[in-house]
Amino acid sequence: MGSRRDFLAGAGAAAGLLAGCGSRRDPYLAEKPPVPVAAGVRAGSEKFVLSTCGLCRAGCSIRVRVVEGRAVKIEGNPDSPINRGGLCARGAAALEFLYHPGRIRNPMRRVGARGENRWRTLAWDEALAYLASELGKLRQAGEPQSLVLLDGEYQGTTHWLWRRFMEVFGSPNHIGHGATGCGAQIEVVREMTGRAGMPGCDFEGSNCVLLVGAGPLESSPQWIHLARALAGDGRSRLLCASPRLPPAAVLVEAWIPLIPGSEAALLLGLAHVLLRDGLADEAAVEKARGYASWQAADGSLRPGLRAEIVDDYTPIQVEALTSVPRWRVESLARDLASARPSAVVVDAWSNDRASAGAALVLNALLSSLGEPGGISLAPGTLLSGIEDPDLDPIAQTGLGAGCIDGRAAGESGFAGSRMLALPEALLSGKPYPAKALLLNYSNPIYSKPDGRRWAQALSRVPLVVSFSPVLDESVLCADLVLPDHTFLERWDVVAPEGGTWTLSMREPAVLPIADSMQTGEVILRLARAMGGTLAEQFPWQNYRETVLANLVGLHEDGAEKVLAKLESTGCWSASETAAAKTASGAPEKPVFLDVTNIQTQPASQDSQEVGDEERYPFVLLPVRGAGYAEGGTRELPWLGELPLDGGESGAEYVEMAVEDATMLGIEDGDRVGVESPLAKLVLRAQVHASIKPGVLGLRLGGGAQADRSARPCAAWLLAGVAEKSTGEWFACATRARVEKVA
Amino acid sequence: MSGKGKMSPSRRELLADATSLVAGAALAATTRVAQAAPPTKQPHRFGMAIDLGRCLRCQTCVVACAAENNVPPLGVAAAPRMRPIHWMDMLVPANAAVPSPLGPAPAPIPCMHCEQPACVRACPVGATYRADDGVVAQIWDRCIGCRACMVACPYSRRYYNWAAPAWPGGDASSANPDVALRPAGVVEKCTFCQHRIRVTFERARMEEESVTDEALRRLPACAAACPTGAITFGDLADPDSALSGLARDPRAVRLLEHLGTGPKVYYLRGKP
Repeated sequence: MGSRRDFLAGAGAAAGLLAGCGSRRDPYLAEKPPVPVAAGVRAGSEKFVLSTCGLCRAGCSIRVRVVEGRAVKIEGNPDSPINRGGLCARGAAALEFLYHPGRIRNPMRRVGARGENRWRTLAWDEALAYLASELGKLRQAGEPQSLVLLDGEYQGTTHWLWRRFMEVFGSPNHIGHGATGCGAQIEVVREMTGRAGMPGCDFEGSNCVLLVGAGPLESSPQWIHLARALAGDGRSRLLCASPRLPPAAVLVEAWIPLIPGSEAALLLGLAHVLLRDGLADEAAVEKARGYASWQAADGSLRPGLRAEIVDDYTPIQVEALTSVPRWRVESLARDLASARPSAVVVDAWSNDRASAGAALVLNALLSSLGEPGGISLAPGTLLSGIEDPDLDPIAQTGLGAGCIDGRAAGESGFAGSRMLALPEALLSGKPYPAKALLLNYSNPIYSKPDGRRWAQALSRVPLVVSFSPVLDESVLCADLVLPDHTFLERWDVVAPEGGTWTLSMREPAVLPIADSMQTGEVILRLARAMGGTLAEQFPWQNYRETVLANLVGLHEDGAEKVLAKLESTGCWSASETAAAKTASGAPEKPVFLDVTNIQTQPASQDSQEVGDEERYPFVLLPVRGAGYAEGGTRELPWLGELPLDGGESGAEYVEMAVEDATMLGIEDGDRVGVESPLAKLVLRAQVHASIKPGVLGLRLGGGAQADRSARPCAAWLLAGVAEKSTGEWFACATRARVEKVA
Repeated sequence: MSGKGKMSPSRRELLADATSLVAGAALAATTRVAQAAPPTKQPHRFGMAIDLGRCLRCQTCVVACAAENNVPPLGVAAAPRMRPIHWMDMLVPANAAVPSPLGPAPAPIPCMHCEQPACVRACPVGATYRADDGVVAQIWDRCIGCRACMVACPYSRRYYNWAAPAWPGGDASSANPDVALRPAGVVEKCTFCQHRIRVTFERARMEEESVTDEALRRLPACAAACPTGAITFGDLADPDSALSGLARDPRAVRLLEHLGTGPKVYYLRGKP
């Protein structure tokens, strides 16, 4: 066969030669390579670059296969303590983000009207000089607080540089996405235990894990830790308390459906049973302020958390609050107590402060805090080695002005900022007008509740600057765009989230495919261009130098040895060092300091519903599906076509229970009109059995890829309702109606 | 690459040539593996086991397969009109009245690479064949697009390519050079990542080493990406391979075994 083929190929080639440049293409000639080899690249060259995935905060170490300067495949790094060579669907599809057709190729300044998508290309020096002079005017006018930064990053050196920049500039308005993301959990951990970051779970060592939240097996960074446990010998029982279980979550043994937003009541009910039956271990919490009775600042005597749990969260009361039968509460508590080590994990996307606090206390009562098979809390962040900045008088005045989102100066940290109050503040100009808005990792018009209001709010700000690497709705409202690298073009050291104390290397896999610049580098250059105190407080030559200065020298040999290990294996773990441990040799266990601020009232009891029950019989439950990142699945079209997620590219889905669908004559795959008091949309129905009747699972992050003008998407249906006592978003506050459309 | 230091320059060049040959060949998925593989006592019988007790149904295998084999997404325009192409797909039991041996939950489903492939018998032009190592391969250049094989395959594991692949925005930079760009008008299917098998055995031959079972276990792109290690690849002809062990496991079942196709993909049901 081979010879015949050779003969044919040879004959074909000869015929081709004889025919010269004949019009008909020879079918036997090999296809040309799809992409010509770039200048300066050796044909056939191949290398593997160790990097870190940047599509969520889990920090999976990856190996990028680079052929002729093009990144052609992403695989997991087997040396990583986080993912051990595995990936998730998002990570596997990440090259679509690098070669995204909507990548912004240069810094741009708007020339047309907002939303018109007409731009003038700028050189980086020109763009930075313009921004520096505009921001300089705010400081000269003595109102540095009118600069607002909306920052979708939670951690890392770029985030840290932004914090420093805002502080030295003199604006208290470094506002995070915490109120609609995982801010509540981070804040609760910080307040109660003084630890930093999201809790992690040792799925490998655990016997039983209760997952709490809307999408516990989907987009949460905890997911990869569970996957790694399954790859090894981890055989923990998985239970799930949630209004909805993803249809793919077949490994969950028991699903406990409950009323959206009532998770905290169930967790406190479980704590009640443990305390009542003497199954609880109170060692970690009993000394905390607020656990027993305590005196509040106004002099009144409060009963304390323990008494509240015992008195107010009996299984009967919990049944009324959550719809979980009382016997189920009892048996679930006993399951968790008898299967120790067991743990409770709250979905990282859950922004429910009450359930985050209740889960932390329940974990303590199950003696799982800081224990093998339980919950781990990182003692601090590994990227914070530089001292606090010196502030000039302008900055001090600005910082004293109080936040634009209504928090008093110094009331709460970055993660606890009240993002939901921002559109109102921008529109009304109260407490003071915002003169410039920076958007880092943030596209609020598409991804935040009540996007219509965000679109209006952004149009009121005189100067909007976006750092997005791809064109999106908020970029179209911006005046200046300074495109960031994607994570595959960046150099960085990443601190993975989730209770592990590790670092991960991010080497640029390819040369930047556009004239973009890493935002960390942009901040340094901007500070230099502004001169004065700002230039003084940012003395580092480049981003790499900042990262090295910021690496806490945990290793006996300091940052250089840490970096050498990172460069050779792609990851570094603090457990290898003595410095991470206490004098006794064992890692220090977290202890509760203060539970006075715990919110025991479930979110569903602490906020106002939007829409009356008669007209809007369903509750909308926003769900971040497997592909959800800030930009959503639409930036990674492979994920929009996954067979279990509907498979239709560009479609937005709403999940509904079989009972409800039957009653309304809706079948799986039908187009349905979903209407909330805020917006009306046509979505595709996905009908399945594992969602509580009366609840509509609204999958965020889908939608068309090409058109980026501000127009209704799934998030526009949701109201930005804040919990009264905390300012966090109550995601399930919106009611809706649904009907089949022809 | 182990033993890199020992290689003489000329050997190294040879190796580079071999890889670029593989890379450049538009026929990458079409020639026989056995020709390149070193002579062994008995021919390989490559197969796969999928542990449903570990599988999280995250569909990473589906994406990894598409990324490896140059199967870009259909895109908004084509998606509603066309059957999406997933060489590695998710099997969703549609009818509760006909219970699936795998249970009611979805399961990853690649080509079964049958011992007696029905598709091979159906093909009028010999475009599909069972290679000596057990891989059921497809020769795109020979396929006339009659789709008889699609009718014959009891597992629906074959796809007709109605359109040439189009990357988002037309930028094919992420295309894998080891796999030919799929032409329109032919039938295509899972190849057990034949190009990766070939490179592995070719490297081993040049370094005068043998390919270990460990090196095979996560060889195809789907198995390499699986975060829970649920997919095991290996040689069924080697009784000591991890795969052979799993195939003997009492939890192991095969799909539509009674048809006599002899599928080489084993599913492990229930908890490990």
